[in-house]
Amino acid sequence: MHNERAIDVDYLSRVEGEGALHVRLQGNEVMDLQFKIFEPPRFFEAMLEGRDFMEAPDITSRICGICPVAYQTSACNAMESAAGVTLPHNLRLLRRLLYCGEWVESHGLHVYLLHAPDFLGYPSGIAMAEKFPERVETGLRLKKIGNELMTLIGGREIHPINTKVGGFYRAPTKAELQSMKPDLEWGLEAAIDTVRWVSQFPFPEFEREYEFVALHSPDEYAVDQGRIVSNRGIDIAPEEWDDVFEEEHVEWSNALHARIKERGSYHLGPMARYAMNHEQLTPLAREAADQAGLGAECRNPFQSIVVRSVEIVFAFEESLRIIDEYERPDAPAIEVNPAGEVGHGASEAPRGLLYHRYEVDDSKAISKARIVPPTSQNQLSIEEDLKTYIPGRAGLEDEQLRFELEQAIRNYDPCISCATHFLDLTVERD
Amino acid sequence: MLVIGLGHPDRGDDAAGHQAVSGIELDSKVLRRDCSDLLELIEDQDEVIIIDAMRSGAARGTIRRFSYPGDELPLKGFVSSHFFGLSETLTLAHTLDRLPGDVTIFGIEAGETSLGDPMSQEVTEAAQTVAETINRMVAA
Repeated sequence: MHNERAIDVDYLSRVEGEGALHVRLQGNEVMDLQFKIFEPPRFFEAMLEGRDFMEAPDITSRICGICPVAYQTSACNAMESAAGVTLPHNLRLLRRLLYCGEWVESHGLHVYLLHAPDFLGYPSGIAMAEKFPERVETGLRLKKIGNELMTLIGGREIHPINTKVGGFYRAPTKAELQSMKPDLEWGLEAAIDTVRWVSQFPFPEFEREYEFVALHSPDEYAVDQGRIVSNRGIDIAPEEWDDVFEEEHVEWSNALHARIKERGSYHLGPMARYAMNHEQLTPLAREAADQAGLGAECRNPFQSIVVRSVEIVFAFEESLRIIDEYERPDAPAIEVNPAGEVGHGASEAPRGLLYHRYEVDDSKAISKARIVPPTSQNQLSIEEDLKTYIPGRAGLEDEQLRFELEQAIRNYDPCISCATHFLDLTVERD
Repeated sequence: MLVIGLGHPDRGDDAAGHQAVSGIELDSKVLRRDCSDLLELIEDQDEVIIIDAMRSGAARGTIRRFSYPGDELPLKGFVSSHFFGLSETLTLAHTLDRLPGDVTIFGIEAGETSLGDPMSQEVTEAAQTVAETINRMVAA
């Protein structure tokens, strides 16, 4: 048939890990679109079976090099909820502070080195560094501060080893945390400036009516715990996940597509969190969002870079607040015994809600594990964005179209390493 | 001098860098799954040796040695499950003037790198060879 073409992206640059996208076009019409991701969580789920419950945070943190704290936290939350315990105040503050470090590190990297080049017309952060070295240095310093915070609390930055079910192996002293304050204060100012900078970028006009799903807590911007809520009425505890969501196999991907039962796709990540929780943002983060003109919600996925930057402001502000409030606890951890129970845990990875479910047998070994990473939950929403976005751009040459599709995928900061191995993009036109 | 082994320990031949580092007799050596903090690791070093799995089309276990910035690095040749591969990270360090004076890279051609794959015999032997070479460099 004439005027039909296919475009394949063989290697999606600047996306964590790799995936594949195949698009078949006939004229301006998208005949077929498949976003393929592979799924290491399935491998890790099998690996967890038979292991002691205390190993869950360490094993699952190896799924992703960029969000290990998210995996650890969701695993710990699940085991603690199975045992019916909650962390004492200061231990919980530490867990939240560690998580703020991961947000700063991951968001700083994405905003400056992966996403900003798209809007400034550079093929990569490296190319951008030649023209904007000071911006790239700012991004690298933000990322480094996030790493240092993770190292201080987590023991090391890449796969924190100090975290355990029930708390930590060692709780840092207040003085140790206070040593971070000058860097965090610098980071706060730099993050406010980042919001100003990115909010001036030229954004494509594109909006969709998303169902935003995020954790929510009435008294704080939800990061490490909360109820699962949406802008279309979902309001459930993590243990009710299966009542509302389902995962299905699609033939082109070995990842499972998650969807809301009888409703379809949903959107996770900074835009979802902001839509559900902007009233809980810290004061300077709210002010930065207001000045950037974000309003009550943002439905243009290209502007997620602005929301992500607002969340960096929040993470610094919250870290400083926590450090002021923290008092070193007498014990670094509490006893947790989930024997014979089922536990559900959720937390907000930088790229969205991460859900874990474990069945623990009477000998405290894991008999069943289930991990639902944010990228496989966003997969359907990414495909729908692309299907909506492509028709207006179908006249572009393949190379430009490929770049713009990559950009549309990058809006989600997809951690494809927790959901895929190598990414290929093909666009087929007949 | 700092020796850095890159790669994923659970992905078959991608663990080549880790395997080589385990045979190196030096205190200042680190293992990393990816390059995410490589810039910070190398910024205050005078001399850095990096060992990573590589995909160049050569036979499995083939060893290639590069100096950077003297030699051109294969931009997507190094296996990485992350966005920034070794070549890109070193290029960025070079652009930002953060490169140590002496950077040597050993690439070991990988075969299977899926999660759960065992390391091949060829890559295991190549990692041992690289470790012995580096031990001689350290002793010299």
